[in-house]
Formats: sequence, structure tokens, C-alpha cells
Amino acid sequence: MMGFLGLGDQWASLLIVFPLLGAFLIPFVYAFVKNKKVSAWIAILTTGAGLIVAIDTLMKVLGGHTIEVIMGGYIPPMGINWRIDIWGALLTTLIYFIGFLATIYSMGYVKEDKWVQYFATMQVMIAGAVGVAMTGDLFNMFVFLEVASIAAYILVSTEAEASTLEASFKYLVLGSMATSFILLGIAILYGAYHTLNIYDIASKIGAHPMLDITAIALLLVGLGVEGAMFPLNSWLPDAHPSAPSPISAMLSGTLIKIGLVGIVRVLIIVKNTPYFDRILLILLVWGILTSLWGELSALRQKDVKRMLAHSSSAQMGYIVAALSTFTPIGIAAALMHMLVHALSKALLFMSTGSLIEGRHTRDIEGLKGSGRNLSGAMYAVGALSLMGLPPLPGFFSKFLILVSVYQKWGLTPVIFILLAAAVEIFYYLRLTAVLFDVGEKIKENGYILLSALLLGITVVVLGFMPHVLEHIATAGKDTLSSVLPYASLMPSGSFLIALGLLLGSAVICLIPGLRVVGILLGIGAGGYGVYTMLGATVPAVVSVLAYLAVFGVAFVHMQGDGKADGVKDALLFVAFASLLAVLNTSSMFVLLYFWELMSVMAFFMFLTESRRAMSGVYYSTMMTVLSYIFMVGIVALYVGTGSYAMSSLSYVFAAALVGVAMALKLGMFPLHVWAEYGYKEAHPVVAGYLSGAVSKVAFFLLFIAAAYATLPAKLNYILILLAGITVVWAGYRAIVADDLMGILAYSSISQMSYVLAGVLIGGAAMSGAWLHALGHAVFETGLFIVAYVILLIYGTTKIDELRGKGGVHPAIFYLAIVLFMSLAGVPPLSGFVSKWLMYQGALDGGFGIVAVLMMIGSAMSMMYGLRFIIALSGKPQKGGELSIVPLAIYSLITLGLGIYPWPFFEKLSTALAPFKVTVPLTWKELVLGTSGGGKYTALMIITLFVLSFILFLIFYGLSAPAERKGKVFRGGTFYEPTDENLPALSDMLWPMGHVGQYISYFDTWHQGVAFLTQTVADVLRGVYTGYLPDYALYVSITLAVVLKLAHI
Amino acid sequence: MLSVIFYGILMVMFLLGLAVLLLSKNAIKAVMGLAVMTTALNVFLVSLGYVKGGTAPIFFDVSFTTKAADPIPQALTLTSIVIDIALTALALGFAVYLFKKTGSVDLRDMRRLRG
Amino acid sequence: MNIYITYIVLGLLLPLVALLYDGIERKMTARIQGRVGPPITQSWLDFVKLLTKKVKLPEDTNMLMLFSGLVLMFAGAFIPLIMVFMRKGDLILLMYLMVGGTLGILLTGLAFRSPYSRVGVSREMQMAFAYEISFIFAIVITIMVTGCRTLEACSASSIPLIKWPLLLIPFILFLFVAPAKVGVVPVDIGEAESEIAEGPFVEIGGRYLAIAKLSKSMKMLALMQLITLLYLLPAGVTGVWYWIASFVIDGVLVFFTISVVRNAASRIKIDQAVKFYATVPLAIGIIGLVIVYLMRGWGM
Repeated sequence: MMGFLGLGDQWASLLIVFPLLGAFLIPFVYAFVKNKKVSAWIAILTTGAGLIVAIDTLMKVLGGHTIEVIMGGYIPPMGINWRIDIWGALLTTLIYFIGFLATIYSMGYVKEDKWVQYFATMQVMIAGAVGVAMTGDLFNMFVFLEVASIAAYILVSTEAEASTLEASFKYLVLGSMATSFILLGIAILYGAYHTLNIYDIASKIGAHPMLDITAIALLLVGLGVEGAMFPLNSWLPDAHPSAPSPISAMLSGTLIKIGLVGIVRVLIIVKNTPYFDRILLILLVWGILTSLWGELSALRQKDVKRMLAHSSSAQMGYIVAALSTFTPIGIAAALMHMLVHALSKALLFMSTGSLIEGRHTRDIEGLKGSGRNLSGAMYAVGALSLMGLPPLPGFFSKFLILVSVYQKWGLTPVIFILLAAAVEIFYYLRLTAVLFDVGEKIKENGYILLSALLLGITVVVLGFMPHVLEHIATAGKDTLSSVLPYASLMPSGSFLIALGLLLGSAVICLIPGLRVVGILLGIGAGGYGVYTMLGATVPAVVSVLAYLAVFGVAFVHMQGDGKADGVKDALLFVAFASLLAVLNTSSMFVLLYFWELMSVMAFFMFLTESRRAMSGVYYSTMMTVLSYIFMVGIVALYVGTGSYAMSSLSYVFAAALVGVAMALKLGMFPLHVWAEYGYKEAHPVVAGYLSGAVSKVAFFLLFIAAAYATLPAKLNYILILLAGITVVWAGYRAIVADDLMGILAYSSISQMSYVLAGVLIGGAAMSGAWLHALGHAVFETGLFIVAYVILLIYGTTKIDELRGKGGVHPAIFYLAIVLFMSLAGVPPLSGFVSKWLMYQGALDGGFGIVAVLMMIGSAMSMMYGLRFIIALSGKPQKGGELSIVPLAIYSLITLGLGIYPWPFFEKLSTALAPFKVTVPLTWKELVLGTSGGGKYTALMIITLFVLSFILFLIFYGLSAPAERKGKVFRGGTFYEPTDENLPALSDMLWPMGHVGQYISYFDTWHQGVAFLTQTVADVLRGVYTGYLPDYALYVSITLAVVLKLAHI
Repeated sequence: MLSVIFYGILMVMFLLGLAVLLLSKNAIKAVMGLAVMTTALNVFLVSLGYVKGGTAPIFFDVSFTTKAADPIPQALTLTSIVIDIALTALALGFAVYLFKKTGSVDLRDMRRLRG
Repeated sequence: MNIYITYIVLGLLLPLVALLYDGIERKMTARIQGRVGPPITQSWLDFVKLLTKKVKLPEDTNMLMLFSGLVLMFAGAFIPLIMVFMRKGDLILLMYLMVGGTLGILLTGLAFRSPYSRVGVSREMQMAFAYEISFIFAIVITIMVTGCRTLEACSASSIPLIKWPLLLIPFILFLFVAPAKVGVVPVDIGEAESEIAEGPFVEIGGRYLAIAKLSKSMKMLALMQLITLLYLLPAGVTGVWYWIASFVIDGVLVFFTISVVRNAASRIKIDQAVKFYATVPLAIGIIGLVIVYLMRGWGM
């Protein structure tokens, strides 16, 4: 097409011609044909045509060809030229794409009587924005910026109400201030160098440093206003919400990006000056400040569009931070995030616009429950992408930003960025929970739905095509494959088949009526997946552990009566597929991807029940914070060693971060508070999965980190000590818990802390830890299954409500007792063997305190386990019989491994050998003693047990028989043990319960942190006073500050 | 390069306009401040083309060897003036519309959107 | 083959010896109280009597739980008894078996739907937790000081208390633990006769009570022998002298830790008991651990 008519690159000028033509034609045609619909069609036509040219342009640029369009035949630098590089081409394509979709959207959103003015102005805005993106001349850029801005000012107040008019007015005044500064800067540059061409100035700059710096400062501040940098973005939280949703999409999606592209041009100008690095540093700090302030301001918003607007501002901060590195990776990160954010934010505005239309309010509470439809699904896509979660493209761009910033500027900026990101995760998840709640259905408009759907599909497809993202971000050079090894994300061979089967069974679970089939298929597929990984390797062992748990909870969930059960099952199988993918790789990058995917699935599991949704939000937010520590470890790994291979974890700093993150994910004190939300408040099946399977993966990663790197001794000791404290602390909380799920939640943490300590202590404790991990997957999950049965039968798991009731099928009861005894560590069950081994290891290593803590924890486990059992000891009831199968299997496993653990240890030795970890347990060693001298003489114990049993029977036989008759006698009368007057053990925890208060009170520290954050957020957003002169003051102050900083 | 006094006065004018913008309580006044700012800017812009002893840069009237003022800033200024007119008109239009809707052009009342 | 014969012989003899010690203890208590007291073979006679008594259990008793509780109780006392007298077995394993015995008591209590037994279970549970802490400290300090982890190794030295003076601390801790574990006044709160009608054992009689009492006696003897073995008996003593010395020292210990204590105070309340055990012995244990660390250096 470019060669057509021999005009070459000049065709690109059509990119301006089309929208301007449209802007002219729309009112012109309307003067003759009084049909407003025609305006819409003209707009669609011109935008569509422009989109085609834009895509063509982008293709050319990706092919390596920078397009030069010379206007009017006048050669630069005298004449105006367009120099379309990747920034221009990409942004133009985005503007047209989003503009095209927004036009369609508007047909369903804006009232028809406004269409003529509206579409015409929109065309002008598109023209202006495109012009800024593509031009190579400073003044041209200024003009186009004004053109676009004026159109924007008008479009903001399409609905002419007092608030929107205010917003427009303020936007106008501040925007004019901004462009005045820009013009002043341009004027100074012209005065100094007598040229307006960007690239010309770039070659001439430097002769007048004072003037240069002043001009650059002016330009940066002016462009920063449009580019939503703090505190120049005071107009943004007013303007973006006031505009109709399609315009908000365009403003947030594309218009603020032109400020960014302007800044890029400024950077091009100063690239070779001595103060370039100082400017980059200013940009870094500025970007981080913007993102922190923006996220915190968004946190407390009640208007959904205002929240999205603040979020846009914060996202621009991330992009600028990436840009401030000015390394190839950094620039690619900025480009990629520009692309991802534009699409995702536009999608968010479009989908929430649909919900707003349906409910006629922008208030978040008013939108409650409106998201259970296609619009809500599109919202979820956009939100997940923005949060940087797989399988959406935001994951790649966010990760790339982190890598680039870490590489150039080190750890501290990355920490701030992740803090801001954590805040963002919280409020987006909270919004998701509110939208997906139960509520009145809304009506959705066809045009709106069509455009949102198209955009959503684009985002999703891009997530699965990271090579496209890379191609665009590197302007066709494809240099990111070592930083973003997305090719290794694709599994292969029979493993791929297993994953496919798992996904298939997930889909089947969603079909009503076929849920049981789906579950059975999923269990089979999961087993096949584990089978494909089978071997004497560590991941294989872990996969078996996880599968044991998943099998149990999925199996028992076949007997479910909830409405959203199918969704839970589907999520469970997708999550398990992710889990297997995590285990089946040796690339930390792939691992991170699938780990995050697992987290997404876990969050949605919480959303299936309205009352657990907020717990899911808190849990997921806390887990995300821990995941960020993990992520920093992986980023550090790549930057420090250049590779994502697991073996490079010998780089201690990275391994330490990974290790600490995983220890915290196992519930290490004092960051164990997430257990309250993630285990206690979750549905038993979900909690069983999380506690049984996910914790094993965290354990696996911890093991890897500790195995490859020798963690510094002090850190090791602190972690071990904290693990010991966790055992006791969580144990106590389990004892005084008021809910069966509470007992199990803290029990799970307590037991996994044994494993944590064991892995770090090493030696015999390492083998104990692995056996205990297996045991934990079995007995803890088994108890969660029992809790599920209780929930099924009685509808509650609170101990007070189960008072007197709580009985289950006898088989379930006795199997539960067996599992409880393993939990408590009664010989000869496997729980004892593993704990015994850990004590031996602790004593070998001289960790006396930890040994004591662990033993006390064991005594505690007996207590809280007994509480659990007591709650089950009511009159037997029918229900949950399917659970007998997994419970029986679990009991057999724990009993068998308690009596005969050696096969497990032999397999373990083989698996751990490559890590140079010796498992000092052969048959001989166990019977003859470990290195420290302990001995688990199973044979003797069994013999003595048998002997005692025989003696017992002898006494029995020699004695008179017993008769069962009559009732309990108490207080002078026969006692009728009704269900009510048998005291529940919860009343009888005096005096231990009282101390529990203080411990529980300490565990609310996270609420204090939350409160503090909210208070800070309220203070920060108080900056947006609404008073225009204040905003103008902010701009002026920023200019003064930047000038001062630049001149130092 | 014109004299320092000239640039000084322009800077004062620019800052005055900015000050009006920062201190005004009335929307119309804010627009006025903005207009003063942009006018100062325009004067500055056109002054960039000053060539000592130069004549008007009209293409057909001047030969290539005569000193002429720089025509580019003049073009820039024209463009800028046009833009400023549009902006001022639009701004005043918003102000009037706001007055119609709310009965006030006091900026202190225009604080419906904040936080 | 030899070892199995030893097991069987000891298995038949030791319960008898345990009951004998129970009788001795009753005699000593009686003498302290100024009575003549029953003959020391009285416990044998009581055991046989109980076996022949017909017993009535409430109709809604959970037989499986009762049965398993009693088995655990019995095994939790019997196996440790044999282990300590044969000087074979792991120390921590022994501790866990005894804990298993406590679990047996709790399960027995749960088998009945009586409020007395339920309260008994709750109190016994908390009491057990309280003294278990001291028991744990004692065992761990012993292991850390002497370096022995099995009963064979622990008995291979001269009088332990003299060789390692630091063992005084776990010894004292054991003196605290003993009355609580065996279940004598003032800390037999779980089986309070007057307050909650024997707690978990309120409804049992006949052969079940026989087993329970036998288990209690075996537990007492096992504990005494454990203390003797760990702290008081030099291992140089072998053969007949070993047995004689054991029995004598056991008797002395029983006197001091059971009989004297029993007659010295009345039963205390559960919160007082828990408070006490959670402070004084815990403090002693922590001090002991700290001293151990100081002596061998903190390095780890």
C-alpha cells in the first residue's frame, strides 16, 4: 500500500487526513441529511480506515523501517516532518483501535441528539492525539496537543451538568497553563538554536546549558500535566470520571499517553547532554511518587470511575519509572506497559461503563452484584491484566518493568513500586468482590457489549501471545527472550496432554448436571499428570503430596449442595494444572507465572460464596505481598546471574528472598495472620486444597532455595526460631479457636512450621520434614474433609453452634480419630515418626530451644485435635459418606508409613541426592540409631503393643462381663443427656482460654497496618481540594522544584 | 537579542498573569489571568524573530541578501494567538454555562469534585 | 528368641510389681495419717475383686472409644514400664508413649455422655498440657546435658546427678511432674473424687476399672524407675544388685513424691494448677536451658 501511487511513506499522512475529514464531513453532511445516525457511520468509516492505515504503519515500523512523512514538500529542519518510530506507530494504532471501539460503544451510550457534535469532536481529538504521537517537530507537537486537548475539554462535559462543567473548566485552565509552559520551553529552545525539529535540536543542544535546562524543565512539567504525573494530575480525577465512558476510555487509554510520548521526545533531545542522568533520576523519583500517591488516593474512593482515574495516574508512574532507566529493557517495558495499560484501562472503563449504565450510579456500593454477566467478565479481564496477573499480558509488562528498574536503579525503587502495586491489588480485588456479589441483574446494551467484548478478546489473546508483545516492545528486534523466556511457558509432551485433560474436566464441571463426571475426570487427569512426572525427583514427590490432598477434597466435593460448586471444582482443576506446571519446570520465570496463576484461581474460589468474598480479598492481598517478595527474588536472580535456572539459586541474595517469601507463605510468625482469612474463613474444600496442596508447593520452593544456596547462618537460625515460635503460637490459637475451621487453620500453620524448621535444620530433621509434609497432606486435609462433612450436615462449623450436635457417620468418626492421632504424634503412626525425626535432628544440631518448642507444640496438637474430635462426638448422623474413601486411604497411608517408613525414605534419598542433601535414614540407621543416638525401634514397639493387647484381653477374658443398662446418675436423679445440656468444650477451656485473648489480640496487628494505610491514603487524597487555584499552585510549585533540581 | 529590560518586563507580565490565576476567586478572573499569561508568551514568541536592522520578511519583496526578521516566530505567534482565542472563548463559555446551571462563578463554589 | 521370653516374663511380672508398689504406697500413706493401713498385697486382691464384679455401663456408652481408650492407657503405661526396666528404647519415644497414655484417659472420658466425665476430660487435658511442658524441658535438658538419647546410653555412667550436677534441674522438674502425672492430690484435678466424681472414670467399674487402676500403678512405677535410671542409679550396678537397688530407690521416691505430697495438701483448683505449672517449673526449665546453652556456647 505504501508503494501505491509512488507516494511511499507519505501515505502515513492519511492518519491525520481521515479523522479531520470525518470531523468536517459529519456536520457538513448533517446539514443536508438530517439523520443523526449518519454521523455515527461516518465516524466509524473514517476511524476504521485510519485503523487500517495505522496497522499498516505499525507493521512497517516493526519491520525496522522508520517512516518519514514530509509535509508540504518542505525539507526539515525548516519544514515540518513526521518521524514515525515505534512510539508513534504503537500509540497511533492504539488511538485508532480504542477510538474505533469507543465510537461503536458511543452508539450505545451517548444520547442520539448529541451525536453530531459528539462524533465530530471525537474525530478532532483522534486527529490531535495522532498528530502528537507522530510528529518530529516541537511546535507541531504543541499545536496537535492543543487540538486534542480542546476536543477533550469539550468531550468531558458531554453531559452538561455542574460537576462535568467544573471538570472541563479546570481541565481547560490547567491544560492551558501546561501548554503555555510547553510553548515557553519551545520558544526558549528556538531562541537558542533556531530550529524546531526535535532531532535537529538533539544534535545541537548543549551550547547554552542554562537555557536548555530551563526549557527542558518547562517542557517536562507541561507534558507532565497531560501525562498525569503527580501533582500535575489534579484535573484527572475530575475529568476522566465526568466524561462519558467511551471518552474516559480514550482519555485514560490514549490521551495521557501522548504526554508520555512527549516526554520520550524530550528525552531524545537531551540524550547526549551531561545532565541526562540527573533528568533520568528526577523521572524515576517522580514516577514512583506518582504511583504511590495515585494508588493510595485510589484506595479510598467510592466512585468507581474516580478510582480508575487515580489508578491511571499511578500506572503512568510505573511507565515513567521504567522509562527512567532508558535501557533497552526499560524502554521495551515502557512500550509494553503503555500498550497493555491502554487496552486494559480502556477495557475497564468500557466494562464499568456498561455496569454504570445498568445501575445508573457510579457509586461502588450501588454497583454491588452487577457484575455477574459478560460486562463483569470483561471487567475481570481488564482488572487482572492491570494487576499484572497471568494469563493476561499485564504480567509480562509489569515483570519487565521490575527487571528494568532493578537492573538500573537497584532494590529500593522496586520495593516502592511493589508497595504501590500491593495497594492496587487490594482495591481492584475489593471492587471485583463487590461486583461479583449477588445482586440485581442489569440490562446490557448491544453496542456497548460488542465493543467491550472485542477489546476484552484482544487483551486475552495478547496474554497468550507474548511473542507479539515482545515483537512490538522491541520494535521488531525480538531481543527479550532471555528476560522474558515466554517460550518455555508452553509445556510439552504427555504433560501437555495431562494439563489439557485437566482443563477439559474443569470445563465439564461447569456444565450443570455433569459436575460429578467432571470431578471424576479431573481426578483421573490429575493422577495422569502426576504419573507423567513420576520418578525419584523432588518435584515428583511434591506432586504426589499435592495430588493426595486434591484427590481427597475433589472426591468428597462430589457430595455438594452449593450453587457454585461446579465453579469451585473447575477452578480447583485449573489451579491443580497450574500447580503441576509449577513443579514441572526448572525455570524460575515459568514457575512464577504459574504460581501467580494459581493465586488467581484461589482468589476466584473465594468469590464463589458471597460471605467469603472479602476474606478472599484480604487473603489474596496478603499473599500477593508475599508473592512480591518472591518476585523480587526472581528479578534479583535474573539481574544477578543472568538466568532463571533453578540451579542459579546458589546466588544467596535471591535464594534468601525466595526462602523468606515461602517461609511466610507457610505461615511463619509474625506474618501468619493471613491464615485467619485464607484457611479459617474459607470453604473447607478450598481450605483443604490450599492447606494440603498449595503449602506443599511453597515447601518445595523453600527447600529448593535452602538446598541450592547456603543461607547465612544468622538468617537460618532466625527462621528456625521463628518457625518454632509459630508452632507454639499457632498451636495456642488453635486450642482457643471458636470454630472448627479455626482449629484446622492454625493447626495447619503449626504443623507446616515443623516442616519449615525441619528443612532448615537439615540432617535427620530434613527427612522428618519430608515425612511430615506427606503426613500433613494426609491428616490435615483429611480433617478439612471432615469439617466439610460437618458443614454439609449441619450448615456450620462453629463449635458453639454444634454444641450437642456434630455427630457424623461412625466410620468417619473413627477414621478422624486415627488421623488426629497422627497429627498429635502418637506412635506408631507416621506423625510420630516424622516428629521424632525432627526432634532428633534438632537435638543433633543443638537447637534445644526449638526442640522444646516443637514438643510443646505437639502437646498442643493433642489438645486442639481433641477439641476437634469432641465436636464430632454427638449422635451419629447420615451425610458425607463419600468422604470415607479418602479418609480410609489417608489413614492407611499414615499408619503404614508409621510402621514401615523405609520405602519412603529410600525414594527420598534418591530424590534428594542431586541436591547434596543426605537423608540419614536407611533401614539400618533407623533401627540402629541416628548419628545422635536416637532409635525408633518400631519392631519393639509393635511387639510390646501386641503383648499389652494380649494381656489386656487376658484380663478381659478372666473378668466378669459388663452389662449396658440404665442411664447416667447425677445430682440425685437420673441424668438425661440431651444434646443441649452436655457442655460444649468451648465453655470448658477455662483458664487457658483467657490467655488466648492476648495472643489473639496481638494477631490483629495487620488491622492496625490497614488502618494506618487508610488514614495515610485519606490524607494524601486530600491534596485534591477541588479549588482550582490550589491546582494551579501545584503546577507552579512543581515547575519551581523541577527547575531547582535540574539546575543543581 | 533584545534588551534584558524587555525580557524582564515580559517575565513580570507572565508572572503577573500566573499570580492572577493563583489568587483569583472568580472563574472569569482566572481566565483573564490565563489570557495575560498567554499574551506575554505570544509577545515573547514574536520577539524571538528580532534581527537588528532587519526588514519585514515578505518573500516577494525582499531579496536574499537583505537582512530580514525571522518569519518563523511570526507564524508561530499567529498560530498561538488563534489557539488562545479558542481557549479563552471555550473557557468563558464554560464559565457562562456554569453560571447558568449553578448561579455562581465563584471558584470556591466549584468544588463538587474532590478527594 | 531370648528377648521375647524376657518380654513375656517381665510382662507378666511387672504389673504385679506395680500393684505391689501401689499397696506399699497405700501403706505409707496410712502410716503418715496415723492408721495401720491395708496390707501391701491389698492391691492384688482389689484387682482380682474388680475383675469378678459385674458392671453396668450406661446404655449410650461408646464402646469402641472406651475400649480404645483403655487399650491406649494400658499400652501407654505397660510399654514404658517394660522399656525402663529392660533399659531399651528411645527416650523421646518413651515420653510420647506416656502421652499416649494420657490420651487414653481422655478417650475413656469421652466415651461417656456424662457431664462429670466431660469436665474431667477438659481438666485432665489442661493439666496434662501444663505438666507436659515441664516434662519436655526435663527430657530435653537431660538429653542436652548427658548427650544420651536412648535408655541404654543413659544408663551407661556413674551416678548421673553427681557426674553432671546440672541434672539437678531436670530432676527437680521431674519431682514436679511426678505427682501430677500419676494423679495424686493436690494435682489430681482430672480425677477429682469429690468435685467431679472421678471425672473420666465416673461410670466405669469392674474389669474396666481394674485396667484403669492397673494402668495408673504401672505408670507410677514406670515414672519412678525412669527418674531412678536417669538421675540416681549408677550403671555400673548390674545383675541382681541392679534390681534390688532399683526397687529400693523406687520405693523411696514413691514415698517422697507421692505419699508425702499426697498428705501434705488438699486438691487445688485447675486455674491455680495451670498457673503454677505454667510459671514455676517453666521458669526453672528455661533457666536450666539457658545455663546449658551458656555452658556449651550459643554457637549454632
